Amino acid sequence: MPGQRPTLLVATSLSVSILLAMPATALTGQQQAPQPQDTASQTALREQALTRERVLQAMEAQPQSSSVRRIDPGALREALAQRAQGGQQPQDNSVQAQEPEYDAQGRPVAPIDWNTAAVDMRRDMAQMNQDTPATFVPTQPPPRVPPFRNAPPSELARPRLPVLLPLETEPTATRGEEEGGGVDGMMFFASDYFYSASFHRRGIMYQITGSRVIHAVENSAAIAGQYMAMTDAQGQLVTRTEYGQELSFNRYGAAYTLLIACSNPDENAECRDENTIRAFAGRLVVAGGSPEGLPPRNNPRRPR
Amino acid sequence: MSVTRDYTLAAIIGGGALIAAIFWPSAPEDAPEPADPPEETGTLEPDEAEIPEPEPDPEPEPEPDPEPVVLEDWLGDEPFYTPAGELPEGSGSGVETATVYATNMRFPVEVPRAFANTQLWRPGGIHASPPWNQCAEENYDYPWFDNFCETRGWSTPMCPGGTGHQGQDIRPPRCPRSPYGDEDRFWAVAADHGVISGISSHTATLLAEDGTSYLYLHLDPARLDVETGDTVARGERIGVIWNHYGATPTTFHLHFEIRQSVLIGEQIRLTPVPPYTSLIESFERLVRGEDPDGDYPEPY
Repeated sequence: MPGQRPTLLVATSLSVSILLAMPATALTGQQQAPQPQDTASQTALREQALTRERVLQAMEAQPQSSSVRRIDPGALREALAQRAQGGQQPQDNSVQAQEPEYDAQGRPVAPIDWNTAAVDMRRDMAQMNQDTPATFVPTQPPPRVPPFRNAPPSELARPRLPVLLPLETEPTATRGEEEGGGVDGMMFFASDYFYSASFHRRGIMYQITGSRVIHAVENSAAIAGQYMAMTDAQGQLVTRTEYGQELSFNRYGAAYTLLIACSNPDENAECRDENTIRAFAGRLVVAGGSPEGLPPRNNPRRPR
Repeated sequence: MSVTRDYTLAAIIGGGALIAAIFWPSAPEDAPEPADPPEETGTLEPDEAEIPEPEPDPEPEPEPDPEPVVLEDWLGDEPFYTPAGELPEGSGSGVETATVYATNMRFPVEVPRAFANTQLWRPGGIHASPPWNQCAEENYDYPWFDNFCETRGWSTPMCPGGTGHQGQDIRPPRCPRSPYGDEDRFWAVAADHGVISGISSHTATLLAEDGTSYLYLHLDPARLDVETGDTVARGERIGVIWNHYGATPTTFHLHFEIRQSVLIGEQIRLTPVPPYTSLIESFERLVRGEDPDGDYPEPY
């Protein structure tokens, strides 16, 4: 037994050393991790800004039009009915003259007011790029559209509708706590005629989706009237949901919806507070989108 | 003299006729019967062409009634459904629509057995009478019931009353507290090809390739099979159907929503649309074995 004592002491001290070192190692890892992220962040933000400049030029190159084409519900119903029967876009010239644009699957898409979007985007970019006084001491980071962590910044030019994204001053994370928290930034999913983006903060997922695809036409005048009557002066409709809040509106001819989702809104005051989602809507700027979009990309699904 | 000559001539003719009648060859017995003469109508005008009567069509053989196809779900029960918009009495006013909004959806439960019905007006729900047993037999039985627009205080302008439930509640094939150890076996699957555009605790959003958004609620956060940003194929597993709702569990069920852009008046709006008809259509396709992504495990 006495002969085993030095061995036991060495083993114990070694174990203690390892246990003490583990948090230190983990901490070092945590401290070192932001370094490349910050660099990547800065690069992503710079590239996003360059893309914004390019898409603004593309928007402003659109011919000036005095008014946006109106949607003809009758023509839309016909187009959707033909598509449901296995056809593609209608061949009737009168219908095509009213609804000339379709997506790759033959669905009609709503016309966009690119001129107004370009004016708003120039205003938003001026707000983002305004000179900071030399004497100004920042107490918090300047507002920014969070960097994308899953897509190149050039994807901002893919959607053929104005891409609205928020200017954030507080930190954002790509994933929720249940998913490990992710990294600083946001997730961005671009398609030709719709897009979505999401990020997390304080147990709440923020998500925005925009689309100009027309899936269906509401035939009930009563429901349509009720819907419009429930929107506020800004054309926004705010609803409480089972997972949080939803705010939807139409701008530039496209449909947008914001969701905030948490584990249980009854247990999270910020999640069920209508001001949270209204503030989210108030931070939106025109951050991308272009009339011509981008060439198709190869987007393989993960193996099952 | 002339009278005698006449009698003689008559006798000769009569005798000849008698001989001819006796010795004229008769027709063979097996000779075919002569064709019937055309039926006289009595109205045929002399100058009209004679048109033969068309042969009457043979009486068609009566088609045997097709054997009624009895659908059987995963465990051999026959599914049936109450109509869209027909909510249980006292639970609200639904949307009576035949529109299938998601026309080619994969049923969002992996196996072809699930029970669409209310969670609140059934045993285990807050509007039901005691005993509050969410595993009561009637909860896990057909027919299905629509519960889009079921009474809630939340604004839902697509509902007749302007408020209501924004999705459809679907119970898993068996109550997970059954003796089969089902706790981790009943999966919600992707309704279409797309990308997981966000996950928050028990909620997953799937943005499909056609721009439709599908929301899955009450999944088990510890047993999600996807992460935000994953591209998923139609029918691929997303998460286990569970009862998660923060610190306050709900009943075991999948809350399922479909969001599409709908032309309302003169504007398109992204809004929850009634999912019940899409669920019936996709469920039938799965039960019949007609869904190309309809793989599922055998019953146990």
